Amino acid sequence: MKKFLILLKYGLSGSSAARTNSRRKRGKVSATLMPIIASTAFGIPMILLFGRSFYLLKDVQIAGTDLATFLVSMWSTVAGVLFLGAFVPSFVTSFLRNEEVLMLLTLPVKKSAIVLYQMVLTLMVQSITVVMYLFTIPTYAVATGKNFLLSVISALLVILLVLCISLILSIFLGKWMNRSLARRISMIVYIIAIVLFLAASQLLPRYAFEGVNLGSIEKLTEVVSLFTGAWNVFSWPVMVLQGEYLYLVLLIMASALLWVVSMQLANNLDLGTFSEKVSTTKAQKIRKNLFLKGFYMKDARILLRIEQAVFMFIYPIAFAFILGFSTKSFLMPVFLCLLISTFYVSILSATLLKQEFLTWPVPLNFPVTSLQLILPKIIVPTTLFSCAFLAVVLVFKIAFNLPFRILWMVPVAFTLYSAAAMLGLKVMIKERNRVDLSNPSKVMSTANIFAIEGIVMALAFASILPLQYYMFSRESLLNFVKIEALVPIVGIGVPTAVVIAIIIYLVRNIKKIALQDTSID
Amino acid sequence: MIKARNLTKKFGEVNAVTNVNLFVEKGEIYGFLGPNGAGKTTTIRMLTGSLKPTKGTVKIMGLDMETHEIEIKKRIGVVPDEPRIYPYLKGKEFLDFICDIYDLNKRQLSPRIDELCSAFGVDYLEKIVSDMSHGMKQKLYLISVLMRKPEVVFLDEPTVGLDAKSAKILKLLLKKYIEDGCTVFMTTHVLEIAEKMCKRIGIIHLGQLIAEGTLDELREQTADKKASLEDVFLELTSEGENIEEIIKEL
Repeated sequence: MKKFLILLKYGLSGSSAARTNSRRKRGKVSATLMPIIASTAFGIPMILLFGRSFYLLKDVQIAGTDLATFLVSMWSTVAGVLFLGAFVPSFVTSFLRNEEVLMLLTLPVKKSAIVLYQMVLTLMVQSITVVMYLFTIPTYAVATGKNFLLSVISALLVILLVLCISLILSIFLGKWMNRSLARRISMIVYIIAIVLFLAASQLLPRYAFEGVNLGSIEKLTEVVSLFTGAWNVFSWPVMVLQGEYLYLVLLIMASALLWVVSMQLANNLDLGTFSEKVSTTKAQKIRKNLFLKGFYMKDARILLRIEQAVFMFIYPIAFAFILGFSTKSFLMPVFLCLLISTFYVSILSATLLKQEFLTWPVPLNFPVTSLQLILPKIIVPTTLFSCAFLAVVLVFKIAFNLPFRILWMVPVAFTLYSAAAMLGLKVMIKERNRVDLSNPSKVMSTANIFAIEGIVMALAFASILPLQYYMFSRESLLNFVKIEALVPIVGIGVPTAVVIAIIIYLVRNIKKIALQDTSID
Repeated sequence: MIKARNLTKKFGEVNAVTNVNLFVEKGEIYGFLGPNGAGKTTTIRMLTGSLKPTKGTVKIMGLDMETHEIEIKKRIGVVPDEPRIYPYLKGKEFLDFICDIYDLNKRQLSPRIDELCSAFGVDYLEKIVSDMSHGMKQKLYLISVLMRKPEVVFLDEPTVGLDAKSAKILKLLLKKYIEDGCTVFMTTHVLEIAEKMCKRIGIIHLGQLIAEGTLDELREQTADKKASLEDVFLELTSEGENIEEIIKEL
């Protein structure tokens, strides 16, 4: 235990992002605590949402059980499965080519301490899925007047149980799961968790606050009752809170037993050889490849393989659809989709340039100009996101039977994305020496993130929003500007001016890049 | 083939490289040696155009690096000390990328790539680069350069991370390249390699080229005319002083 605490002490303090600027001595929140803080921020709206829903649904009885209990059982099962699904691949990944682990193995530290240490680190990274489970049970207890302390204890015991199961599963899965597969599974589960949260936040209020359609709820409870059986360990805390204390005893015994078993297995684990799955495909396959377009193809491939990119690509689309179809509107969902995705474009273009810097100064040996190096970082994310935005707009056009003029938003979106991409690149070039290149999650400083968010928001508000209101809600625009003559000026003139300004900004910066010397100094 | 005149590089107040003059003929393997921090990598970066010199000129194949940078880069190959490859690409995708960048015909090159992969034991082209070890990346990077058969090859510590077989194959390949008229400029800490392979050797110390010539010519500058390259190197760089005393005290 002592060695484990030492590992935690130094491991957590060493995970702070490198600070080379002395002005940044303030703000000592480490990179490891940030996921916890972000997850807690995620958990608080969950508490408010679920708390109110549980409170309202606790008196709705179906087949002898209240709806709140059904809801918490279903949610905790889904959240628990997501936690397991995200944790296991992440945990497997944490051992693959981990130089810190290899170093620790040379020290007089038990393997179980190293495994426990990695478990804590992985738990911090996967804190959102933990929060989804952990915050729900005590919220249910408070909302339904049950024992809060018991709810916290039983939820924590389930977390411990799941961690032990995860460790055992990881040991077996680690033999065949390689790093990229593990990371992809982890990210897909993460996205599902976010989408579920969004779906719940949109659909729950309708059921809880607007009246319950008993017919559909009865059908739902038939399905949900499958998850409230004794075999479902994730719903044992709910049963404990119902007064079935046998499940608390089972939880304690199962957690203790699995803890002992997993620590024994951990001590006997061969940590140095986690997953060395090697493909034996011969080089002849290269003949069958399609003709590649150099940097564009390379950057497109990289973009689609970066785990955060998958999330950033899907999240705005999912958000728009969930919001749009649950509220049966399109103006705000489309606008918010554009706002979120514009910010993500700047992050992704910066990330693509960061990938280039990871190989620096090797690209300087290639016979390419700085423009050939930089331009794909703008064009690739802009094009991909523009296509996605076009798809969103088309879906809404068909679903809500909108006129074709809605497609005018697409070229405006394209210019916004281009501007955002250029902003991201400029920040990355400026921050190049300060960014922690070894940390895939760290692309730019918090200050720059906020700055880009602000600029992107301002551009979106000045371009897309007036255009949307001019095309589909002219009365609202008139109410805002008060003078009728100003309606076309604000509705069309301002967006046009913004687009022109962006084009000038892009041309100027591209010319600057073209003249720039890429050689390092 | 490679001509550097008064090559100088300053980083702030620090003189990393000072007035280096060197000339490498066509068809020669030139070894560039020096202690850690002597300026080897800085020099090679200036010669390959990835670093602008503070002063001086670089000409490769008669072309001035300042005015013909892209053209030179198309015709040379550079193997860096650290094989930094895009981590999210697969091995074969990286080779395809190189073919596109250098406007090479992949079909024509494919048999050569197969041969090089076979020679170096590279059977992991489907693997993502981030899952490769340092040695695997090094071999992949070597193949990406050697497949093009550039006219001039710059290698910065090429055998670091290579297994014995691959290192041997690399040495034999470089010798074959020389016979075919290529020029090789190589830095290495493994003096045995330099002694066996290099026609001429340059020794850089504290940013200055302190000695240059064949091994026999370098020996002339030392006390022992039959000394090994290691002893010549240590004497010329004064690194050989007090080694025995240091060992005694440990």
